[in-house]
Amino acid sequence: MQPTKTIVNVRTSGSGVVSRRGFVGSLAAGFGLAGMGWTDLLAASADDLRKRKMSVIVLWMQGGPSQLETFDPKPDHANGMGTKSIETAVPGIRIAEGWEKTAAVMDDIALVRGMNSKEGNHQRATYALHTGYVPTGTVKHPSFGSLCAAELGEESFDLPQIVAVGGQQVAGAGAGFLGVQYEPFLVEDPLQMPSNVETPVGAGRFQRRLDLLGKLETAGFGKSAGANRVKEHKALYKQTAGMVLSPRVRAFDLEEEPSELRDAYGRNPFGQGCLLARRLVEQGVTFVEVRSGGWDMHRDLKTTMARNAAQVDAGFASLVEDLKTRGLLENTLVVWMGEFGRTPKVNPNGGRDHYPRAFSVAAAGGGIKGGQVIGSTSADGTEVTDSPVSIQDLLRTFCQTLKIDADKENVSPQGRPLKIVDGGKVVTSLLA
Amino acid sequence: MIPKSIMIRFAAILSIAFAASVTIVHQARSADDPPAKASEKAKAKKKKPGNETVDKATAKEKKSLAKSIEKQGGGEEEVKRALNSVTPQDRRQALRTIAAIQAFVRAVEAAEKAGGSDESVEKILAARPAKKVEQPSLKPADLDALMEKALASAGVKPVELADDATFLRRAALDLTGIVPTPEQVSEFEKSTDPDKRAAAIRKMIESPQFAANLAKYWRDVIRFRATETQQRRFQPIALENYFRDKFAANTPWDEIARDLITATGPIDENPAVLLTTAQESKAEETAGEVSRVFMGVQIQCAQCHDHPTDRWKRDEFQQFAAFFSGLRTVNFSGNQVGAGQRVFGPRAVGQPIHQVANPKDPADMQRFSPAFFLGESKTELPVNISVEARRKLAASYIASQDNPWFAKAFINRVWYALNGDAFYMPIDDIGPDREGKNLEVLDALASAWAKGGYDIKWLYETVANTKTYQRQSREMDASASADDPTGANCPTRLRADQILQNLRQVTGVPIIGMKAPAFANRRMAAAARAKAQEKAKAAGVPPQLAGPLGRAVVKANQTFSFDPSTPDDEISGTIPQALFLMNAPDLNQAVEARDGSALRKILDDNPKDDSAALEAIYRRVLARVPNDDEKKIALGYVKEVNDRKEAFEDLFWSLLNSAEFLSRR
Repeated sequence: MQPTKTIVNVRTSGSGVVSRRGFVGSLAAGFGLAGMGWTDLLAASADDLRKRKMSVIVLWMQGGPSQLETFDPKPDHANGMGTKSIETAVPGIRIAEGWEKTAAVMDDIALVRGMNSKEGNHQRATYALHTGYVPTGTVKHPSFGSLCAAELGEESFDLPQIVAVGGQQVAGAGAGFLGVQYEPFLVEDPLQMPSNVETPVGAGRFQRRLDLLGKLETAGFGKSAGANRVKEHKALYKQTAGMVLSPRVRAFDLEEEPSELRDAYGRNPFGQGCLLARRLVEQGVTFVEVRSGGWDMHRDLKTTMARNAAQVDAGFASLVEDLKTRGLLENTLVVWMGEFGRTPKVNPNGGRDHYPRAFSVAAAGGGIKGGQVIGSTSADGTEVTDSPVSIQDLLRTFCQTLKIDADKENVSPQGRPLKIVDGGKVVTSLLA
Repeated sequence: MIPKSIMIRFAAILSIAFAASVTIVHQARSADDPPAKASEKAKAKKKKPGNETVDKATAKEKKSLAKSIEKQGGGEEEVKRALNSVTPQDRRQALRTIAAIQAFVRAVEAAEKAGGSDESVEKILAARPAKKVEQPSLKPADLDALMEKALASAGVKPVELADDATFLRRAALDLTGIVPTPEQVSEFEKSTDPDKRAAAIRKMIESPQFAANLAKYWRDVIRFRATETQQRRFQPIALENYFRDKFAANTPWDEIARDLITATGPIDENPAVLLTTAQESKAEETAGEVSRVFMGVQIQCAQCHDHPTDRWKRDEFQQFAAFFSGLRTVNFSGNQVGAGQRVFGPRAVGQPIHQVANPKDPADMQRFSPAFFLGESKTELPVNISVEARRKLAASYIASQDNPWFAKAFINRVWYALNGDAFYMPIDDIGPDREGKNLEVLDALASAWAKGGYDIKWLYETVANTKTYQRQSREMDASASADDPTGANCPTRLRADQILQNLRQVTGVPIIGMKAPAFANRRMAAAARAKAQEKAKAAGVPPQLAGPLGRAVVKANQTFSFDPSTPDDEISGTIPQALFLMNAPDLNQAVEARDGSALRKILDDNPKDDSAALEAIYRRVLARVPNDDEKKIALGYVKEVNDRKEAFEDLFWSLLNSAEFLSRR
């Protein structure tokens, strides 16, 4: 049994922590507004929602993908392991073989080859890339995704603002002290509707039951010792029922997509996860993380890389292309990354070990200037020789393009103010 | 003279070194055998005799290896052993082992030079006051008198005592973790024994469920702050079992605390190490957690700088952390591979000297010797005492009758668990600079409990028998300040395990949030279960959590769980929780009036009487009868739906989905 996130619901403001009592008030007020226009909101076209905000899709490579077999190949050096480089749609930019489909959409992708950090441990590095902070026992930092959901999302939206696709435990990917409403909604298997989102009794009877529940609660516990609890419970049930009954919940059903498009994304959990991400963003979800596992290639890297790359190449490229075709790319930031890179020197087991000193990240859409490479590494791949980018730099740049104030402070339950991104400099060349 | 404990440890390290070298030899030999698994082919190929050059150290490597061993003070034997190792990993392993031995020898020598510092610790320990136990004379009525005085001076009028049904549901949830059955409630209501509440409390505290319930609570207290995420290095279930055994034996809290603070070694031999492995055996993290859990003092905020709102200075934190330095979570089973064979635990590694970089100048490594920030005199200790001595000393300062915070921290938690309100909020942040309420009650109870030797069952029995505990429930007045006494028992949210257990009890079937997989027959189901359990065992997962059903149980628990140290008004329901209760297929099936189901029986027992059937459902789910308004709404609904079975299914569903079902009140 793994520890789950602390379910603390603390709304924070510049002046400090607002207790739940305050929160219930504001939530109720929010619902009052939403109550009036609940059906209108459901009917609001996805276009309207999109106009108002940016979305983010992170393709997370858990384990630490090798930069040398992805976006920073070294075909002319012994460290390159014999991996060939291929041409891309952008003359002069070459990436590793096995990424042919991504190469074809390089026009829209920017490569950051000078990423570097100090964290070489999976948990710590994963936490750092997700939160911009190093883990400490006392503060559960909110993930960048949860922060995006809080900053960009509409409170009355009827689907979860942040969704994670793929079942792995990912350090630092949760809402931390921001509270449960920004906790990622986990879809373990994109091929199935998420657990319990469909009512087994049909919409009519479901509605009838909710009605009965509400009346009984008002007359019973709500009148005796549980007025606040009942009030909050009702708000939660209204929100959840809104999701169950929302037509938008069909976004989770990939069966609605044409077979050819599903083939193009790749008939595997990651590829289909990318397609699900597009569907969710299209419906107005703010942040989606699609996870791919098995990148911790300490041995026999060539074989496992070929298998992983085939899946992610198709998913990544199809996602960028599909978003673009639908006019969604300019408002959707797509990021490909893992927790660190891998040692340029090949180990005796034909693998590469953890290497945070020089690695690559790829980004597209959402105001990113595609078709360029930022930064470079030395001929042997061990050092960043030009334009180093730290985790904070990267997240601050994302904030800039998403129009999030990176210096905004959230207050932890201990009363400590924490900036959305602490330090870092915007990598201006990354932005269009 | 080298103390005996150190000699034993030295022997242990030597035997590990020996085991490592044996493993190296073993691997060298097995390299000649044909490879057993296809996946090992590549590796084995390199080890074939004709291919030896691949694995031999290069001249350059040999030179640097010899040099580094020499630098560490290693002799010819060590160099040879390292060089003869088969793979670079083996060589590194050998090197590490040698380095560990040498570092240890140096530490022992340094300790000797410093005048046998562990002996000086023994002297300090001998001078510490011995634990004295006298049966406490404090009675529940004494606490009530103090509480009523506090209420009167705050101008708060306490509410009446709760009725029998409310009392029994509350006490059963608080003391055994599960709601009473309708039969238990009516039997209790019928009893005319004037001492029936005291008798019920006594019976519940003596039941095995008391220990089991408390163990789950304490498992969650530790689990939610664990920084270790690897299942095998921190095993919440092993921790729960540990607590359960201790609580069942009514082991005094100071003994449990001492155990948890001082334990080292493999988890399977001594699960008390889990408090340490939960914090990855790191000194600073363990120090912060020990202080929070056992004293309610959040000194970890002073880790990097002086505490902003408390008196603690960074140096005081680092001196406290020095009690916990020198350990690392290691794999005790050496180089053995099979997943099921690996056993982890904290072990002394290298010198225990606590050394931290000065935040103002990272190049300046500061050394801290252990000192207790809450102690009267902060005795300066030698910097190089052993891990065992450090922790023993820490336990002696913390779990001690001369440290009032030790008793107060535990009582503040118990009071909160039983009354829904505490002396200090949040419950794990008390300490000398915090403002609390009703502190006369806390002081009296803490002093009596400490003098009585930290008897946990006595504490629960005393509090549960107060009028304060047995009053009607009221929510804290939203307009009132949190510092005001409440004069009532405040409702709080039930733990995940309680919710799932109660769902099972009221529906008669386990609810895990999914459909059970269909098997053609029992034999096939059993075979699938056995296979899943075997697989789980190999992966270090407890058998009860094996397979898709086991995973569903874990997920259901995760869906509803929360950190029990969090104030109730900061915990809110989540969408996955609501989805689970609304739509889980097994729950919806369980509320149906189908053959053999709980609802079927209620409807059959009351074939014509809807009012009686309604009462039976309320008694079953909420352990009370419906009030007039509820009755009117429910019976009106039955009439309106005009399908008795369907209408009662909807009623059953509604009660299971109510806020009240999820609360203790």
